[in-house]
Amino acid sequence: MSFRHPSHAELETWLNGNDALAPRRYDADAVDRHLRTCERCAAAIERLASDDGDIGSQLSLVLAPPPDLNDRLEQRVADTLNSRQVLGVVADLFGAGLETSRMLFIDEGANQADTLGGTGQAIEPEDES
Amino acid sequence: MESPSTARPAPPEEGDPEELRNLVTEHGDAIYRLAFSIVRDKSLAEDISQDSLVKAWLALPTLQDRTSLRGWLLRITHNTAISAVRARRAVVVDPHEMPEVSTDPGRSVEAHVQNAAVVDDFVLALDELDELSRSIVVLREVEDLSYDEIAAVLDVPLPTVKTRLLRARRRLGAALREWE
Repeated sequence: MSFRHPSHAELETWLNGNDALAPRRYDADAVDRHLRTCERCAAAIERLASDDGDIGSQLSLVLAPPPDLNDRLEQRVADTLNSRQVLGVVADLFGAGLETSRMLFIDEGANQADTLGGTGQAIEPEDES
Repeated sequence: MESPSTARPAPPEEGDPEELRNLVTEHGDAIYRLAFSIVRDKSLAEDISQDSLVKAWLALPTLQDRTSLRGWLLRITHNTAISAVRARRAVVVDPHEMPEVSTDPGRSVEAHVQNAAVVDDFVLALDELDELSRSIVVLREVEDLSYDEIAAVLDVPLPTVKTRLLRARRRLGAALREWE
């Protein structure tokens, strides 16, 4: 790779993301590209970032869930699923209602059309005797 | 003849309540933390946690590899939270509804004030990060996911994970160092 290794100051600048305080010749994109391929500089920047304190425990503190979260979540999820289930039953009933209506009214008409035999003339039922 | 209702497979809504409880118990906190880190609003984070769990529960039968359950849940949560943020973009945020910070009343007033100030600075630094950086730093520092897992959960390239994480750590670390 033709790009030279960034200096300590350039790595610090890149890490801080503050180009206003950049050293001369600093090119953020070039440093960015370099860090993707150069293990030595990637390790150097890891070391620079390693003394940033106990971020994990502080994050856990400020993002801490409320103590009763899981009970509440479980109830809310169960309620949502139950209401979906009820909606499903209602939709099924509505569907059944439509089916019944179709059988009672629409199919009846269709049957009547069948009995006309497509001629517009009523077909006499066969003599079952 | 078999009626349509008996021929149909049981809907996911009728799944095992014990399995649902386990899902919430094992992953509820992580889901909430990720949602809260993105939306920065406790009430909305809880709504997103609920939505994410419902989506996950309904889609769970389609999940082929149960070993990837955690990453899959976090991915659903991230997508749900980002959608909520996008939907909320136009809404003006009331400063009085900024995130609350829990404090320990048992400590001395001085320690309490200093701790509150550190937390305030830290929260401010966290808020100043973009949503992707917040997600990355939480998944790494709190949920202990590997770089590869984070890249998969958030659907971003590995170098992006590393870059954002380093810079996020630096900014959050600076907020902590001010009070050392």
